Amino acid sequence: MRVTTASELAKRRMEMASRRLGTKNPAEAIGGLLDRSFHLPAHDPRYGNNLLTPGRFPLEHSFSEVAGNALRLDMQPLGPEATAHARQQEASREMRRLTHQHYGKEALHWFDQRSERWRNGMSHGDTRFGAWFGMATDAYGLQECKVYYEMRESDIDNLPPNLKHAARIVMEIMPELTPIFTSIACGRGRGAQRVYFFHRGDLRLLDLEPLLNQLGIGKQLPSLLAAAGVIFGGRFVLPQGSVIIGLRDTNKGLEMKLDVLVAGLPDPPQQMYQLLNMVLSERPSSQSNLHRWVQAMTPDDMQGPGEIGVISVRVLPETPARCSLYLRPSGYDRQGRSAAGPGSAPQPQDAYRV
Amino acid sequence: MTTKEKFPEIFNENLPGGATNEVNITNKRLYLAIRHLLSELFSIDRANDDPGNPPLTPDPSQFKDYYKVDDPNDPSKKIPDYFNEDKIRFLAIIGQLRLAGYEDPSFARIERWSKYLKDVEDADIDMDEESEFARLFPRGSMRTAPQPENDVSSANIVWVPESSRPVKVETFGTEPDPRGPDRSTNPPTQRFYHFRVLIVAEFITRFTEAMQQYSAYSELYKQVYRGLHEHSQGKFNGTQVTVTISAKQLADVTERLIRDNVNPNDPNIRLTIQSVIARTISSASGSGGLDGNFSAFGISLPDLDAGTHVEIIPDNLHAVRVIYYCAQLEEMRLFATVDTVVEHATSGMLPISRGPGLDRIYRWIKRAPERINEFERRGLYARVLGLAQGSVDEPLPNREFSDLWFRFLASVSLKFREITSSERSQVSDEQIHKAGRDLAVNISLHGYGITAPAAIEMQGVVQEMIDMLSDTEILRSYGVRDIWQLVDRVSALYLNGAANGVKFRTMAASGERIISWLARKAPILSSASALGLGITTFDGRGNRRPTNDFFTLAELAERWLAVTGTTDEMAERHTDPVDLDAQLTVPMLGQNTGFQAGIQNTLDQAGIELPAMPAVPQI
Repeated sequence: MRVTTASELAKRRMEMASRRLGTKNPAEAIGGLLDRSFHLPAHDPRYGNNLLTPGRFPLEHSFSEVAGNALRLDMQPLGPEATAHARQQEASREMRRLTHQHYGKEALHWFDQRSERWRNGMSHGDTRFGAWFGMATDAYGLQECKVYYEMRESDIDNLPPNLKHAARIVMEIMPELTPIFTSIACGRGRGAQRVYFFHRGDLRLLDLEPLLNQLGIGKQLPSLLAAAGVIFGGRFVLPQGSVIIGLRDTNKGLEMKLDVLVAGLPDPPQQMYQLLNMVLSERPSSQSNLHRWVQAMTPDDMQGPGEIGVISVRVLPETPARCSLYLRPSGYDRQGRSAAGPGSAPQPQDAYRV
Repeated sequence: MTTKEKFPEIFNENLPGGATNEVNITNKRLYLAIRHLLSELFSIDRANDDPGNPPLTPDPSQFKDYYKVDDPNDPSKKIPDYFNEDKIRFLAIIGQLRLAGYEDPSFARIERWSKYLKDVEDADIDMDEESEFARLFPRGSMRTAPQPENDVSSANIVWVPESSRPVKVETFGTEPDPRGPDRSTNPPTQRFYHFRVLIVAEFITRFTEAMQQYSAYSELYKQVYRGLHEHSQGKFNGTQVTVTISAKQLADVTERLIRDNVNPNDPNIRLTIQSVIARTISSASGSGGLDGNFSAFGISLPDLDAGTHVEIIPDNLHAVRVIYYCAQLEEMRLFATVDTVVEHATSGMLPISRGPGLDRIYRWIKRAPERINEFERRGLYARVLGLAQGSVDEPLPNREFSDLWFRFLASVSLKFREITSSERSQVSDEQIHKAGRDLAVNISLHGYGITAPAAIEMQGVVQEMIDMLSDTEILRSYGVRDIWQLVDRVSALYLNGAANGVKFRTMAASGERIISWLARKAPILSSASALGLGITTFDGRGNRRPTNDFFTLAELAERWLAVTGTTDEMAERHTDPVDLDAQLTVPMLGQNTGFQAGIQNTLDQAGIELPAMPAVPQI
């Protein structure tokens, strides 16, 4: 019997989602990468050996308020046995190809400059995952492509000057922050680099105030607290292992992104999606985009699109909190031997479906 | 005083261990194979009509002094015959085969150590009489009977002797048993094995072509041999003493002359030959531009710390070895440093005056258009080592190299530690063999095409850069004491920060030696068993210990892992063997291109399925 590979499954799912969302199919652009990364059979437990979505299939879809009509994905390139260095090279290769193909030589040059440190012949021997790859498509084609490179504290020196300066300030104000990876993204109009910090120890959201003030976005603290407070069910202290803070230098000033890893919360609210909806109700277009996205991401034979992996809240000097949701899509991981087994077992919705 | 002739490609007496040296053993296999084929396929033997010389013995060290009878009335009176036709023919064939990369008559195809193989063995082998081997080659002996039945079409059998023909049995000697010492004795004793030569069909085909070429251009070969003889003779007090002749050079020079349609009877033939010899030598040294036949020359890289077949083609590995070495130097910013120094000299910023340093810089500038440039180099790194550099449309980037490289090094490192400890062994010899084989096949696959000539050129370029930057005046003008300090200083001041020179130097030096080890072990890695790898041996007390060869390899691997800061945990995680879906040994044309992907997408959308095609190798 022919075994369905995870790559085939992912391509089918992406084609379906893109058709429903009205975007270009990402699989058309990265079909080769999907084949190389997900060549094992679908539901193979070895996929769980990854650091993007530990224990789960290494593919994540996300909804972002600022790109509400896009089909976004992040994935771990190459199979579970690949080395970190191989992933760095593979993600870089794919990124360069797409950047050159869609955005031209100038964009490629920009990316090459930013990523030079990670594209050479060596990586640190203790590198754990190396790199991840991300992209987003909309109705017009490739909206953005992105590489996440694992980094160490000494790699701060390889960041562009503004970001490096901001990173140093952040680490000075909050010594609990350790740089863990950086993302370099190319879009139609411009590129952007973000540096991510892992927060050691519990984080009281109010403790972000001096940091935000220093970065010039202190006035957005109330909106950040309001959004986070609602989504996390009134929790204003986030436990160790659940917080990642991202910084990005934009033409509108520094942007701070608070990523909360839901798996790190001891008692995440079961109604988190509804709570997020509540936050978005202030912005009806974002809310309707989210509904449309959820519907598009839900396969016919599943009850929902998947589990929430990460909730993000980002603020800019002149823009209040905007939310993102990262989803671990359902249907890629084995749920049990029968429909009555543990977990959210698949139940056919369509009576005519075989 | 007579002149002594030396043919290092047949027997090199200067190598440590003499006849037991691995290089001489390899040379001996080629020698025996050619000797045997000349006799079997063409009935050419030195004994024929040559009263001055006895037949060629199986011992290649005896292939040197040829004589001719000076006085027909007195056959015992002999004088040296430097231009004996049999000798020149033999060397011409060896040279052509080596030039074409056919240095192993077994083509690394079949495990040479197993019993019942259809190969040529010496007389005393203990062989099962019922076996297929015994049926075809009774007692495993090699025959010199004329007019054999040639059958190059079937498998690896080349000739099938008839039992009725007279048989002459010869002994080839012995070679160290790849299974290691005999452990049943105390202390374990080194075992020796009957020397065996396996000749595969592809080798015969190439041999026949070489023979044809020699027959067509024998006069030219003789003229070239004369030229080489005169060119390389050493003199002592005006008397010729020794002459060292390279068979590969003989073939290379003659091929160039054939290509140029040179007539052997041309009155200026000697001058022409001298000129071609000079061209081959200059191109081999890397200083003569791009005129050389790059395949003809070996690769020898400078020591950075000085002064401060079939599936696995060894030549491809040697070429990749150079590319790997250069890639590390690129990361170390050696190339960029040279460019900066040259830029400073061009703009007059460098306070140096007329001298060898400035001459080198000037030469560097003048030759820039024909030198391999950075974009081309980075394209090579992408194709050969899988780095995300160079062209974005690179059709065959080596995606697997990084994984296979790390896996091999991690396996070697862990195995070495296990041998030297009492811990339970987790990495078997077969795992080392598989990891090494996977890596060697991958490197060989990506070493085709332009890699070899580019490697030869880059080797010359590296040497030129090191010579230039080592110039005392240049060093002094930057206030540094050696080339690596210069690289650090220039990088820090002008190239956005210095790289870790020690790390990249170590990676370059150990990495290229590891690939060289793989090239040397290519025949064994191509075989199905790890027996010949020689990983462990036993000391006088019966304790297991690594062989010297494996010790050296493990040391290199450990050095590479240490300098990259690889943790033990990380190394252990990558020692398990991986089942490769596909492992190509030859590049597939038209694979993995955007054009093909576009067509495939269209077909997919239309629901049309094509028959499966071979894919680019994947992990």
